[in-house]
Amino acid sequence: MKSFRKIRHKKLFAMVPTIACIGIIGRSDDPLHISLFPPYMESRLEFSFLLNSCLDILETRQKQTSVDQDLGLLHAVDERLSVYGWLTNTGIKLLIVVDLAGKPTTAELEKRRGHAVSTLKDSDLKPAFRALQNAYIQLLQNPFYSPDAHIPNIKATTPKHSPCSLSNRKFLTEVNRIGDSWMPGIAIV
Amino acid sequence: MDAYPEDYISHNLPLILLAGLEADAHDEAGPPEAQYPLLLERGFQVESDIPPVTGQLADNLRNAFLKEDASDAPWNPNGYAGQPGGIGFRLKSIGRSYRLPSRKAELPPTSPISSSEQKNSDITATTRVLHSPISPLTPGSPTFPDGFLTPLWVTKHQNLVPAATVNFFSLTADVNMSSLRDNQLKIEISNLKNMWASSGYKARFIVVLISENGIYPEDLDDRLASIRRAANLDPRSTFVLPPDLSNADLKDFTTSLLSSLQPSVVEYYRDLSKHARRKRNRGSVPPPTVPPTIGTSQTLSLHGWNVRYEFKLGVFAEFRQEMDAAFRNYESAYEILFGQELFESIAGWNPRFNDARLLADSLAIRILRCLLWSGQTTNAVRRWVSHRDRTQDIVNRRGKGTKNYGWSAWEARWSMVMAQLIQRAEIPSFSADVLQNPSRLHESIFAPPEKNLPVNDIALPWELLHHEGYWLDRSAKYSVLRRTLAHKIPVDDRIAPGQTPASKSYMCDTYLVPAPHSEAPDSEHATFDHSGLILDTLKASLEQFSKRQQTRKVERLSLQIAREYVRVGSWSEALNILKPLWPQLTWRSAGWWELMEEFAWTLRECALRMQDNETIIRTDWELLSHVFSPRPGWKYDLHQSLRDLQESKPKPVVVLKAEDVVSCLSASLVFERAEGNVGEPLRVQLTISSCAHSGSTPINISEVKVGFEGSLRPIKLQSDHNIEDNAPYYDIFSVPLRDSAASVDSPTFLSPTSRMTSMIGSTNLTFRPSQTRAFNLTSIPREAGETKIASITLLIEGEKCDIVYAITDIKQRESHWWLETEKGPIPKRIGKDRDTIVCKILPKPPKVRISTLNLRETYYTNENVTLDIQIHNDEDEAAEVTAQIKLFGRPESTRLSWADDAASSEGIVNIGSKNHSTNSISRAMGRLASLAKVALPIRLSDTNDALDFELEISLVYYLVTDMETPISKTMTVDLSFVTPFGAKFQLLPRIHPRPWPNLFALDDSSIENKSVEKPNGLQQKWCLNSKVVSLSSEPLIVKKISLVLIGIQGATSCNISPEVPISPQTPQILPEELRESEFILDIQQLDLDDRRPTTLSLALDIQWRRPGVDEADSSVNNSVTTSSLGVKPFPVSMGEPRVLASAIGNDTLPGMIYLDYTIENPSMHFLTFSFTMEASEQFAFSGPKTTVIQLVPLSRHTVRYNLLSFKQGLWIQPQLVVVDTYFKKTLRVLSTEGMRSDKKGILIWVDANG
Repeated sequence: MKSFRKIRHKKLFAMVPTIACIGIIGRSDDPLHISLFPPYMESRLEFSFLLNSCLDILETRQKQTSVDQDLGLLHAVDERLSVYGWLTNTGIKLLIVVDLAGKPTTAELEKRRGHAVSTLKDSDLKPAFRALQNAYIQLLQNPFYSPDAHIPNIKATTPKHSPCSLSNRKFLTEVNRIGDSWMPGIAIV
Repeated sequence: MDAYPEDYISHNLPLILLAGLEADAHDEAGPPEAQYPLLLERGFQVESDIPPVTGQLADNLRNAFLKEDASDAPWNPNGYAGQPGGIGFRLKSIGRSYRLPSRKAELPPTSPISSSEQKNSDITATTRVLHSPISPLTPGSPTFPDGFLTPLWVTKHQNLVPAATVNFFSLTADVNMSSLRDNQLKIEISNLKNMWASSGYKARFIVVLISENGIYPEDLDDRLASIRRAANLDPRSTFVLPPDLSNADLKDFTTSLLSSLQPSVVEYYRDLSKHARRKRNRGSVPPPTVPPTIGTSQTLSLHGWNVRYEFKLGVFAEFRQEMDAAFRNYESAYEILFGQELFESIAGWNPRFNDARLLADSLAIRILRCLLWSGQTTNAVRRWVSHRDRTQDIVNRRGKGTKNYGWSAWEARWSMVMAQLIQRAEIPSFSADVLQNPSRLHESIFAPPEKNLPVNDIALPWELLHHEGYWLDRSAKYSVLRRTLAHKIPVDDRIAPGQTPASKSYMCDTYLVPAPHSEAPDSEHATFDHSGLILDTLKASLEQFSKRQQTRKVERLSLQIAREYVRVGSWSEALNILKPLWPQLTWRSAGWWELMEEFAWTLRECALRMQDNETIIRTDWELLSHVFSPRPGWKYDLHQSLRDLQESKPKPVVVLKAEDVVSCLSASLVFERAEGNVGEPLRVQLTISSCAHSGSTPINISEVKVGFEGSLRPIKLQSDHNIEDNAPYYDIFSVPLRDSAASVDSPTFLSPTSRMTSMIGSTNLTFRPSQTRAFNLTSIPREAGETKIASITLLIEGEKCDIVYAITDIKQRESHWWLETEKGPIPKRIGKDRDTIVCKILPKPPKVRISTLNLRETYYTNENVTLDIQIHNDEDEAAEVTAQIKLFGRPESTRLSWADDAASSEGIVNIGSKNHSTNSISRAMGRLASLAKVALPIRLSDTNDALDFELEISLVYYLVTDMETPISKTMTVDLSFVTPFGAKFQLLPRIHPRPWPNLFALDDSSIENKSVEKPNGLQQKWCLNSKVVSLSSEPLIVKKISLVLIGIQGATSCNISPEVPISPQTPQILPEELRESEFILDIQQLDLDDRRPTTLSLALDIQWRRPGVDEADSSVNNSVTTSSLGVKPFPVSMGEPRVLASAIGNDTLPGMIYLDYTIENPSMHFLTFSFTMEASEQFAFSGPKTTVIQLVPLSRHTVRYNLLSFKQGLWIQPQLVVVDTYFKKTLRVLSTEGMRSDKKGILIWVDANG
């Protein structure tokens, strides 16, 4: 037992978790925005499927009487990718896909952090979610942004053209910044 | 796990043989046993002549035993019959004969090479050690000379060598035969026992004697004792079954027998463990039977032997169900195996490399099982990952690398193994309890971190054991990758060996997978069924996800499965999977268009192949919507796809419901107003817009039907087939509607108003992409009530199929009304606070008009108001009208009447109102022709108070064509009454010119005419000065002002003179104008003796009229109004003395004034007054400066002074002090005409001209 733990650590010493994808899902489960991060920039469809499948778990979890804002781990699809969720009180779902072996550790990172990343705690994602929620709140404060305009309605009205219709540049930049700069153990993203 | 030899990896259960019952059917050619080397040739045969026990009881017994077989029990501590720690058995019924594997291999035949050493061979042969036929030491063994282990070793212990045998014999009931049979039995049992003992295996020997029916129980004990004695049987190993046992009894018997076996079975395997441990602890390689030829092969190293022993120890522990011990042994075997000396030293080309991998996998699987057994889910996943990593590492370094299909296959298999282990272990988190409880369902996604994990050791996401679906999904992913890699094998390498020498440039890992020529053959040769594997895996995965209601994942897997079917050309299977999901796809309702698009194109492809017209149309309809990304090179043409369909009779109709599909056309309908009226045009606007892909062919709608809830008739728009290519993108049409022909239409889709005939219009219904057309429609409601848009149905006719697109669940978030402006049509937001799809139809509005012609802004009190009410009939037909007029306000004092004929009004019975009040008058006006008008004059009289009134004029009428429906019209008029005038009064004394009555003179007439009472009392003259001011807002014409005596208190007569106007008199009095006038009052007491005070009540009557009213007319009409203004009651005192001053100017001498002071004594006393005239700077006077006047009762006296004023044109103030000397009271001098007075006294005007 001891030895395989050693190997596991050896592998993870070399790799640092990163955010692979950030998904913002609307109140009626509609995708508002999906941001992809290297090395998954080309796998939009795959990640759409992945984010979409998280809604199943959200749904079953919401059958409980109370659901915390921080949903924690929703599921992991394999040994690399796992999805964490956050539910705002307006029903917006923030989903973050973490790649456990996102990028190799650099010496600089090691030095700065002081200790090696061997685990990923649920709480590691909290700063990222908070930052995302703040970014979303800022977006809502924009008087030109109408959150209801994105609710898909197939009933006799014209559906909106783009499925992911958040196009506020400031918001998107912020989402990308969060995705790029997050790392486990970071206090504020 | 199918790829692995079953015995190598499955859980070990002690083998119990059932001998003497009917043998298992498949026993004869059991494949694993048959493979065992030398089993048939040298196996130890155990045989018996006694035929197997038969009969019902034997069969039942056999079934009861076989039911206890725990091979399929879950791999967890609670697995065996719910007894924790209990040991399940593998049970096998073998009949009577059985072949055990030989314990030692044969001596190998002497090789010709060593013939030179022939003479020594006999000597060496005796010293040669024989080993098990599967030992690496035995030539001819699969592991010879350097293999670790063969799965046959596990097979031997699991399937061939029993831990115990249960022998069944029947105990005869035949008394005559019993001793003979019992003797036979004794011999047979002894024989069998000896045979088992001599086999070298230490299986426990159990005897079960089955009594035949009718056996004497008395003899039984003796017989048994004799058999036991003769066969030397242990009483604990002997069981007797009475003949008639129920199935429940049999079950009890079997379970008790088996549980009694447990300790001895455990002991059996413990002995085997001990043996293996002894060999391990020896620490040296045992000598081989034949020393390997030097240089040709190597022998198994000591470490290799240790792996063997540890593995064996682990398996024996597993037999004993001691999983912790097994885990430790497996772990150490695993670690030694992966150590430097073993795995690392085997070359990748060596077949032993794959053997080692097989052993490693087997060990890893057994370790995982042990971990899951004890609930260490997180450790299990970690172990799983680490085995993957270590294998990858070793295969990369020593083997053929991980960039080939063999590795992907292994990855797929390794995931699959985990899924199967999870399934067999029946993890509590994934148990049926959790799955069937909706509130706990979310817990079944992944197991929580195991409880005994150290606190600071936090599990990574994947280390929380996810359910089988995820593992299977992962497995499928790698199977797909495997196929992809297999197809990349160069063609040259796919040729079967033997055909052409293959170049072998391609390095392929063939561990547990077919060689390239069968993995990916170049021709149609039988190939490995990749799709089958992928499909099975995906389906298994789907099953797990659907158990947990992971709908979206299920949809996704279904899509994958369907695509796999499409790949192999199984279109119908693919269609059967996709089609049921399509209508309720979650991706549609939540707007995941990208995902839905993937689904749609696959479904369409399948439908096209299977010629499923309806599905083709359904998908085409949705794919045409611009929410989906346009497919490059695809020609979007709905009509073309309708034409391309397979012909079928009758012509099919595809009904699309708006709430179920994403549409390429959208339609909405709004009412212009929230309310409408029966019989009046009601405007609605239908907006249809196309949201098809730009560049797609325009869509021609054949017909649009709109159905309403409520009384509105359905509307039908038909295409006029007028296609304009360059029609603007936004367009507004006004479509005239006509009644459809009398024939009844085909019922409108889902419309409750389908029984009514439609209104039909025709217009251009061709829609280019992004084109929006608004149609202004007008409908005339015929019934009152609420009406609501029920459905909008678009019909598209094709040659081979029709499409009906129905919008029934209409909920509009915001509504727009398209308006034509200078810049073109624009949508204007309407109906923000109302539901624009609902319209309230009110009853027909009254078209009879009421107008009041001569209504004035204000009316004045006492005025007789005459109002002309005019009634116009604006209806298209004649009407029977009844009018009712009511007055509200203070109706008690005011009277309402008909001006023309007051009498006729009262006789009419009120129709409109129930309570018949005096201030409500009504009249039936009879029939009023269309466009005719009639006047209705009313009058208000006795309007004494300045108040506001409300006049309600209500009409109830019936149209002659519809005498059923009353129509009512009401109008209210406000009437406000104000007082027209205000007045100020001043009463001034005057000197009565007539002499006072003489007490001493006798009036003759009074004596003569006693009957006529003539006043003979004292007289007084007064002047009433009135100042009338107009309070009205308009000029009024005053005809006459008179003072009227309303009442006298006291015995007094009073004569009032007519008005003496003072201010300049014009008949018209302007607003706020003052009009001053005087009235002279002559008051005389009736009797001289009467001393009582008198009070006069007076009123000023003003007769006036409005200036506009004609004089002549006013005589007829009571247009002259008399407004009466009350004067304060006027007390007249006739008993007190008073002094009145009067002045007369001298015409000749300016400034000369004769001033008379008249003093009256109306009392019955002598009164003495002293007069003192005070000197003044203003004038000089002549007359007594001081004098005393004594007055007798009822007398008056005048004293004259001549005053000469020093100046003219001013008021002078003579001060005469008159004092009643008796009462010491100064009398006030009162002024009369031409004089004024102030506080100091009287003032006299000295005229400049004299």
